[in-house]
Amino acid sequence: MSTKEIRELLINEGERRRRLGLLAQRQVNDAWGLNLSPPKSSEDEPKALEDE
Amino acid sequence: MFAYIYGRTRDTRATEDLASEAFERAFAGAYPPDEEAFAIRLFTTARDLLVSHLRAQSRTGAPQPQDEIEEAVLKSTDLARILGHLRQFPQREQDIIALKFDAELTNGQIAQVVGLSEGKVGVILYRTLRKLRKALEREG
Repeated sequence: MSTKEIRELLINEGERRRRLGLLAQRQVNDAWGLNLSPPKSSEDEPKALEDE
Repeated sequence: MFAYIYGRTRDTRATEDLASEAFERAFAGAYPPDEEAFAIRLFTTARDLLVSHLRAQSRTGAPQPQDEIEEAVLKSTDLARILGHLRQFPQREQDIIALKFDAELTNGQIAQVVGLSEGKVGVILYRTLRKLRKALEREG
């Protein structure tokens, strides 16, 4: 097996582990009340509450 | 960061615990100047916690946990052979491989996390991959 093939297998395994890690990440984010993903557009940003 | 910790522990529960602890400690420090600085702090903290966790595990002689799913996926594959060899390599090499392929950090970011120069990180990555290839060749 070549070094390039080893590298490719490690890249694929890294992708798999990142997918597995998503669940754990979500749980920790929830515990910390975090949303680490930035808003995609200004429309996604929280709007200030209007005065009643 | 979760993939990095999971790759080193192969234990979902330990990953959640260590990641929570890393977040707690990383947030305890002064506010970082930017997102990248915070990521580096988080990975550096996670790495310190991992080192302690793995040391404690080896001191107690407890078998390294491996999730059942992980075991099934890896059974009889080239990847299993690669990871089997990698686990016999020095911790620093395992760590740098995990930061590169599991955490997808650049060599420059890895250098900051492990406290080496970027050039040295590149050399270690190159040599570790070559070492893996040779180990597989010897195995036949």
